[in-house]
Amino acid sequence: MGQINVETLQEMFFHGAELIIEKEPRLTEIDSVIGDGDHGTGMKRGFSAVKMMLCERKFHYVDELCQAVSLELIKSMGGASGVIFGTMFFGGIGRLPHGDAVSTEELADYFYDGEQAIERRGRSKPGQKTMLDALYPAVCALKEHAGTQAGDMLAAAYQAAAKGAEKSKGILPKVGRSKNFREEAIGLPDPGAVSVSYLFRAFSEVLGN
Amino acid sequence: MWIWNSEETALREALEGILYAEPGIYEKLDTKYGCGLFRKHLPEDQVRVIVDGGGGYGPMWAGFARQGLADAAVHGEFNCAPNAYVLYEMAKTIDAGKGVLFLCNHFMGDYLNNDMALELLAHEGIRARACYISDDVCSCIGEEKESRGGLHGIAQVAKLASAAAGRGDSLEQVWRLAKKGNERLRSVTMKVEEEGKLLVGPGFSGEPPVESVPFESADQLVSLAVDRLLAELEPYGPKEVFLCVNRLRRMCFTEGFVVLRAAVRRLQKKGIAVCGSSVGTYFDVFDSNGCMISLLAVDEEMKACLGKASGYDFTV
Repeated sequence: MGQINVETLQEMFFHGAELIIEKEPRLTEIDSVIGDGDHGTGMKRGFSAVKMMLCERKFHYVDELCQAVSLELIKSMGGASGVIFGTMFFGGIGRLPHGDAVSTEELADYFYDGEQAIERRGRSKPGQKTMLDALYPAVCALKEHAGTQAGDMLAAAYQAAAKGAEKSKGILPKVGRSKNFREEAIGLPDPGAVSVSYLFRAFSEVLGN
Repeated sequence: MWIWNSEETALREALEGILYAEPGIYEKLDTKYGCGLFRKHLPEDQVRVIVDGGGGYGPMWAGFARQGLADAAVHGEFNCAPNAYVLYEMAKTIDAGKGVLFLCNHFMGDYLNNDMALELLAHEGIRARACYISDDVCSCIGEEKESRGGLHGIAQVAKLASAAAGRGDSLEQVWRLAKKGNERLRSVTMKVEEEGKLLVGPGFSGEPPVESVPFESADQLVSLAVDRLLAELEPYGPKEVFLCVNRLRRMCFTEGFVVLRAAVRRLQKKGIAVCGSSVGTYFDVFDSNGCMISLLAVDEEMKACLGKASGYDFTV
């Protein structure tokens, strides 16, 4: 079992925000073919707000840090995706200690419960070409590797998320798409799933992978 | 053509206009992420009722923060759900310790943001519930009632909830009555196009109507609507209903009352008593002639809570 202290966790979120901002053009490119084209700009807006908040505040407690990240996404992104990504970081908040470090087990439970909360709130499951196609395998990998060092655990989660996002290329969107649209969507990953894999990539990079 | 300064500022300017027109009644909750109105001098020790939804279309929502309807209203931008954070801030601001009930129409963005607000509030120890109104009989045909969207019927649920809260009911009791109201509430959109086509149940995001017939008369429009709603309410064996007619943007005062009269007569002919009725512009999302008609199948408990409520320029 490993541990992550609050400074490192703050750094992970900061780097995650930076990577999302940097990758906005790619997210927009995907979403303008298979969605309504606003995923990238919404994510950039949300994570720019997160980045600014993290520059201004230094957190002492992991639960307060995670709650603040979630609230910032909800506030600044708005709409459905603000709630969905806000839920990713809020749904498992009860699993976190009110302390200056979090164990790998606690962090795995935190992200797992966040994923479950998205399934419940969004009334969706993995396999429907959504961000869950990356997040679900990622949180399963976290749980599976919770007994290892933090860096190894997050590296496993990133690999699972990237694989999940890649796999979402072959999934037909569930509803509300024209036939042409559905065909174009094949071969492209879900933009939300790609965002999730960027986040886990950034988390894992901060831990030295 | 719209008469405003810019679409981006119109909703905020309108809220400020309301404050000028009715000074002393409201307080504004203003955040960077959206704003809302709540009533001043709310009675202590009561459950609070908040109505919310996408902004810009009639007294729903900003005009609904009135005695007998709701304590506060929060709306998003045009066609956008309000931000969960603003809902949470509003609830925190007006909670009197007995909890908060959110009422909104059942659309994905509204549901997600209200549900998120409930979680944020629970985390702070503030009790809150939401009731998602699904009165539109022409949305999600074939799916269960709870999956449908909402129209102007929500005004009747707001009256029920507000009356229950006003007599000191607990949050669970207010929520239960609101849900019971929603269960027995049905509405339909009847849109009349320039070329004389009567469209039954077109959606405001471009969903096609479920029926399209040549328009003949107010009586014909009303019969189609009322019969469809009554068929839907059949499981409740309604003996008595509350009728509410919502004028679309181009229906005039006189037409509205012609429709109301026709609807009351149609109901009476079917042996159904009308315990109350109202007509007005509550939700003017369609820029056309026509109306939305809603029926609430009441029982004694609901009747006791169904007074009239008035806003700046409407009674519902």
